[in-house]
Amino acid sequence: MVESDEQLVKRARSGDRQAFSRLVERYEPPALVIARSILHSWHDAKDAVQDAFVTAYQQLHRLWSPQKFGSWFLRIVRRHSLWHRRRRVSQSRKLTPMTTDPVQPLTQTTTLNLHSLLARLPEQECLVASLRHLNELSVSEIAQITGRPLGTVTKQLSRAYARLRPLLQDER
Amino acid sequence: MPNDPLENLFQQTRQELQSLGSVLPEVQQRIQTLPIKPRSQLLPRSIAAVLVLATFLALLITRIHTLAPTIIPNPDLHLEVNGTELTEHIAAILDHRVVVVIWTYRGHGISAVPDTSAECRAGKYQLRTLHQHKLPDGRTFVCSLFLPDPAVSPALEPPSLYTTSTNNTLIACTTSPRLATPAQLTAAIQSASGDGSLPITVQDIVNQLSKQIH
Repeated sequence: MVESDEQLVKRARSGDRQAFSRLVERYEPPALVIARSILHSWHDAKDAVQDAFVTAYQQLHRLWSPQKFGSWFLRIVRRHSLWHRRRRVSQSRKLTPMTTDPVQPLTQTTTLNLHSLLARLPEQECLVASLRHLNELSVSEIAQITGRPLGTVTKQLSRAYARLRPLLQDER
Repeated sequence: MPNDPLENLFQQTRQELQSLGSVLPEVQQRIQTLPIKPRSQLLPRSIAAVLVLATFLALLITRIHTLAPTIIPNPDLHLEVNGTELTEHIAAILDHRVVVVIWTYRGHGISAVPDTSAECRAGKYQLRTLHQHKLPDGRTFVCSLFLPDPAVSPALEPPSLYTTSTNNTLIACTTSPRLATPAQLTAAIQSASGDGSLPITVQDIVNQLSKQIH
């Protein structure tokens, strides 16, 4: 039986750090992919995601609907990633004032496409597709976790595929 | 679908994520010393405050509506003192000397003198409340009977209505007795009731008057 986000958030709020660790395990893959799409570096993405989890832990009392932890957390990830990128840009400028494009990624990998593709999806579709394919969860498990009906999750997945396929063609 | 490019891409990313290692140990270490803040009570409190305010306003508006003066067609007398409203609809002289007064009153903690079925002295009259009941608009309908002492003429020495409040303040109002037909008396009762109903009929009054005299 998969524990829903709502149950885990409630337990975490009451001081159960183990419950929060479960949320970290659950949302780490989509968070890393989103952060990677913004920062173009796994190393920076890990830093941003780490900071995002700590912020989420500190702000957990502000989350009004615990069942919406996923989308709420991914928003924090985006914010932290952008902040990391800005900081990196300003540091690069200080260190190498003559560099023309400081945002250029240091390392490029072949999987870069998927990060940018997922980041272009609407929030809910990105979340559902990530949980399905990166966490390898079943549709019913995603429904339980997010507290959404099975039909809604299936629809969001289908829409995500429908959006991803043409984007993938364009990238190629 | 092993040859699906999308699935291949996902698989590649999964492998990459596995080789990266988890952020969990670092996160656990960092949150170890952080306290969990209690859930903010600001929003539920704000909602509760708004609800209380809305209820209070609704009650206030309802009360204002309830206390709004009722338009009474041609009352004999209408008096408003310190939030107390007193209206004499008719003071009819029956049997040449007995005075029947149909009146209404409204006000916080106000009651007619005397209560129903009680009897008391009021100047040169023996006063009895024949009927009293609360109307839907907040007023109280009263039918009072005044029996004069011998040699007292109601036209020259008219009786007075009395109401008393919770702090024992007595409000008196002198009536203007006149001869009236049963139809005029019925019309006054209907007017006093506000909705045209007859809380007491002329026949009831006459029957009680007969009992009182004999």
